[in-house]
Amino acid sequence: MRNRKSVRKQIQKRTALAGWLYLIVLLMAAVFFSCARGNKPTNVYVFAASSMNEVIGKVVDTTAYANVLINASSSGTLARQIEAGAPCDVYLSANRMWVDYLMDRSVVDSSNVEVLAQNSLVLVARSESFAKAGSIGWRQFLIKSESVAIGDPNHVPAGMYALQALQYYKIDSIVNDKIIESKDVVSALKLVEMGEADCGFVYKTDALSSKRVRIVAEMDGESHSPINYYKVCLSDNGNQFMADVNVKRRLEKVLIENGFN
Amino acid sequence: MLFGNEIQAIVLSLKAASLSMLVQTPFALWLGYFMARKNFKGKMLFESLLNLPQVLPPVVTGFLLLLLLGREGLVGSWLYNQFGIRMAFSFMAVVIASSLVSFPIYVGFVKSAIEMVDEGLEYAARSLGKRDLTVFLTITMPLALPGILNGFVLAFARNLGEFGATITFAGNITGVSRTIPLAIYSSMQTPGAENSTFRLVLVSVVLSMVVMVFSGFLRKRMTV
Repeated sequence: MRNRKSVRKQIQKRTALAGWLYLIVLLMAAVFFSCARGNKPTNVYVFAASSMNEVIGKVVDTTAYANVLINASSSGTLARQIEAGAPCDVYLSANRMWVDYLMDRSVVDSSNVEVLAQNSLVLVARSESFAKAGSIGWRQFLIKSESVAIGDPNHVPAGMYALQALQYYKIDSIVNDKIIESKDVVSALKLVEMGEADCGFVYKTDALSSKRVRIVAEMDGESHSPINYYKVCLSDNGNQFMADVNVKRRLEKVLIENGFN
Repeated sequence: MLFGNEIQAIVLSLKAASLSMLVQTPFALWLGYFMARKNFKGKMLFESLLNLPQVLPPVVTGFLLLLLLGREGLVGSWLYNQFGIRMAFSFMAVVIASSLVSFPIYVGFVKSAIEMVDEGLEYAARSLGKRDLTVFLTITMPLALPGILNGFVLAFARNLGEFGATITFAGNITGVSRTIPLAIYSSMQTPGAENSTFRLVLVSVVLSMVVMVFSGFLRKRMTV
């Protein structure tokens, strides 16, 4: 049975430990929490969806644009945030549906909406299978594949475009059984990269960024709805930023480098 | 080995988690004690509301925060119109979102730990003339410390790992709200950025292990 002395000792020991713990936490906070908040020039908020995030990230990668803050999410999440009053100067959307969503709710005026860039749809395969694909032509390669990865056509634009292209080239009925649906276009790319699917339909820009797949064929622009990325300016700051000559020049350069049209 | 934007995410996560736990601790201790020792009308309803962020999908919690504290939200609009304060899409938003989801866990463990402390000891101290606060600090808390520490560690871990509420309420803005989980998500969405993903995941694992080992060590030291 424990006597009074050892219980008191235990309590003292623990109180001391608690004190040390709190000190450590305070130290953590002091070291990491910067207290100095200087006067920052007005921030420009850019809400960028999917691949536009990388593009605009490269454009503002210098200290000259330190006041440009990029919020990266899916077109849908960004649109809902804007609707809820989020501070957004420029909205770069990968999906027309969400631009219309904002216009329907009078958050955005159609005069502030412009097409910024376009993408192409490509059929990709792992580098190892590329030679085989080249020799028999892409249509045969597709028909001979066991599995084809595309984004879920129900909500992924890339998946919808892929289905449209298959219908246009009249091979949709043959390929339908082989389709593996993924939650977004990047996942479809990963399925091909990891060998889970023999080939897949992704955007040209995604294919060019990947080191493990190669483009087998580029789908004709006529075979699907235009893959447009929209620029929506929601404030004067936003207008100013996008109209800036340097920004425009860098933007064009990065867009072309990454494979946009 | 680590790139600038990765270090930024790590520092941001640690800053936010430290501040969040610091702010939470006094409230968690007080509320835990209150829930453990006192009974009041509507206690069950209160407890349910307290645990709501734990049960809701994090993205839903984030949207509710946006609806409440966003610039056009119920409370947020008043804050903005009166004081020009903007809570959403800021560092504070990260702290708020992660605090909201980790607080129920923290309070839960504190409450359990205090419930295990013999109330007789507290009565004895009070009968000897000690103030309530003294009793709490010198008797209750030291005895409940292993459990409180457990709660701290798990709440801290939940805090670091918070994703849905953060990305919805605080956005995914580099340097402002892109914590480690958001940075991992962003690099996973970028074709060719696998190495960045691996590095951040490794850092997450190391951080978690450090916290767990340290807490285990402290707990061992506390059992006499």
